[in-house]
Amino acid sequence: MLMALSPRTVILAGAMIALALITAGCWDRKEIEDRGFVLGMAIDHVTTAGPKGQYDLPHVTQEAGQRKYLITLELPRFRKQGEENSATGSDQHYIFAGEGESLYAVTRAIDAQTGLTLFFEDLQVLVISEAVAREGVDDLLDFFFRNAGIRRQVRVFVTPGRAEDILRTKLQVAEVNSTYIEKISHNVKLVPRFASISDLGDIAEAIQNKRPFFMAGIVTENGEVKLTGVAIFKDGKMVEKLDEWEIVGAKIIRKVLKGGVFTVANPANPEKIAAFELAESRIKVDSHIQGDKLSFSLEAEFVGNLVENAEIEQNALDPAFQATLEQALAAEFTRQTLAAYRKQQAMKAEIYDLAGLLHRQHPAYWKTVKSRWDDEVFPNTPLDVKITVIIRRTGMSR
Amino acid sequence: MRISLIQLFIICFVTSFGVSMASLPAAVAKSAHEDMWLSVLVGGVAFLFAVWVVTKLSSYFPQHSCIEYHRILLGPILGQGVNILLVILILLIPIVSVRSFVVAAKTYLFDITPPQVLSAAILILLWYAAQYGLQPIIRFQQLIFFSSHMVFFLIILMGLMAIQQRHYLPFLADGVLPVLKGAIPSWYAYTGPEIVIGMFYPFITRQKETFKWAAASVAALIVVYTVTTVIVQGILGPEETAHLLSPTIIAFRKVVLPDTFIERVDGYFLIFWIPVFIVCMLNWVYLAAFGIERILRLENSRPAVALLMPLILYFVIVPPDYQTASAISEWTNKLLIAWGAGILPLLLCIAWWKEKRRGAC
Repeated sequence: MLMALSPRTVILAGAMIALALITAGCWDRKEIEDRGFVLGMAIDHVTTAGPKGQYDLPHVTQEAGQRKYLITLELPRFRKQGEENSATGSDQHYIFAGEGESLYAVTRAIDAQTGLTLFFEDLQVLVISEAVAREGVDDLLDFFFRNAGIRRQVRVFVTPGRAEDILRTKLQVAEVNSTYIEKISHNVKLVPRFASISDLGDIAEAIQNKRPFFMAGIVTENGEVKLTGVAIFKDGKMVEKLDEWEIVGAKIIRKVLKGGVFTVANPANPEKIAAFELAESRIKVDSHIQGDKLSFSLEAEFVGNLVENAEIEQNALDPAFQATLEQALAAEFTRQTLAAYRKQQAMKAEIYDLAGLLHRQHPAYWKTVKSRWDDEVFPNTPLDVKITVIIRRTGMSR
Repeated sequence: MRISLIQLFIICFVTSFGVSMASLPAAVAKSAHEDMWLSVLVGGVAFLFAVWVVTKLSSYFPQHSCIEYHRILLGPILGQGVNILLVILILLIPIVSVRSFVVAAKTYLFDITPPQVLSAAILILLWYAAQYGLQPIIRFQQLIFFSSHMVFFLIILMGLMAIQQRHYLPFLADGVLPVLKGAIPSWYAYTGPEIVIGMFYPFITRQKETFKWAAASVAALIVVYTVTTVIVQGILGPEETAHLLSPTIIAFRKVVLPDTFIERVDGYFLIFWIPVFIVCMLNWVYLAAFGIERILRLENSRPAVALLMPLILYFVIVPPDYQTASAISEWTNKLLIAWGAGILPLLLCIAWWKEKRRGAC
């Protein structure tokens, strides 16, 4: 039958088949179950540089570099249809680890151990141990910035203990640890004392601009994780931490404090507390130059509701009480703001984008102080804080 | 073969759009920093001069393409030499662009497929689409323009959700010189209409309105390129944009619509970039083939299209590394500026002088 076809038809048919093969993109065919979706990554120092076990499986042989870092990857455990789901988190994931200095070499070695193709497009969280962070992270992060598969929204955390514990810990919830951490990171806006989350994109920009940056802290205990504290980085190395009190002040200066509950001693009875929930905030930070003198000003207006008053005899609608309470809250906000500002001045590393503000508002002046900013200029620049608080409602009772 | 004014608008737009989408923001950020978006705007306005020059020049020869009037103006030998240079210049654009597109496609979509296969697949498609002449190409462009370019622009606009205002200030902190310096690499992004008008002028229906419609097309390009640059700058900041090799893609990888079926915008960005790019390259391949057809006085451009494909494929593959490909791209930009801002005005002066002399006689 083929003989009956003209050569032109045969060539055309052959070309069409070849074209179908080329354009269908079969070359890159990869079944979804063969992909290793890396959701979390942890970086620690290796505990002992010697062999582990008879065959020393975690060790990754490299031409140069040392057995320096332990890289732990968390992958989801997919279930077949009808397979029962487990109630705890530990059954939700696979953990793989390797030891070496090159992150790329280690991930490739893990690739070869798993039979899966590691896929980083869905990476949610990166956890770095404080020990590694204090030694410096900018060289480590180069792997993430260079890798086309890794997105810039990956949330980055520092933990005081072992970073691998954050991924390995058995959570109470039936969820992969990394996705659970990613979910709770959305709730930091509800709790003003939890650090803002920085992602790889923010850090890449800071490194490129040669500016200090921060990473949120994370700790784990008893099957729970908590996002707390902030690690400050200067020249790529972690230099200091902000505690939960200083975080509130830092958020005010960075103009990101949008909500949360704040308690103060009740003005009518200092033994009791009054709680204020922030609903709206308007914060304005400016730089001023008078002669050669630089100063910053911060004006803020916090509007919210009285949500709890432990002194039940008090009439919360009494204007005098409200005014006193507003002043007490304003004083507390001012104290926290100045505490955070002075802490940064003391550590000579500023993460509030005040350098950027000065650059935007006074570019000519910025050029003259740029090289001396962190060590000389910022530590000696005053901040004038004016905060007002307005209590709009008192809930459903007087 | 006739080209209506709306078709001219589409051809001019499509020929430019997609040539250097991925790298334009990086090229302008290096010089202009926070004013990078302004450089793109200034570059587009400056490019209008080249469009005006080529329209004016072509209006002296309403029945001839640039290949013919180069011979009339410069004589058969020099004219033919300029024509050969022009065809080489046109060919450099698909060579440079296919190369960078294949690198991006391989990085983000087809990581295992060899680049030669991707290049060959694109060129086979272009060969098939370009061999039947201008009319099917125009029809194809109209289809893609309304189905893909419009959607692509909407996807670009989604990037506005991820921008940060602080990345745009200070404004003109270092004066206008860095802005003008940044406008030079942006010329490459606009290139296309000055070649299209030169080649296709005899086929345009209402030739007197050519500049108006071509300028409208360039104005649309200015808007799209400026918006794209504004978005990339707003997402990454000028320093980060200058540091990255393909900042546009990296920036759009940061745009997400959580809890929607769209979720990640970059996938759609890459998907719609493919037809936009293909139709752009189709024009360039056809322009080169059309130039060869007119130089060699062939009956049609089919043999030229077939001959060009292996040549383009070879030169797409031959640069050994990124630096070489980047250097070729920079030289192509310089040559295009020399063509648009140097040779075309010179030819216009010669045409004007010859016309004046003829009038005097």
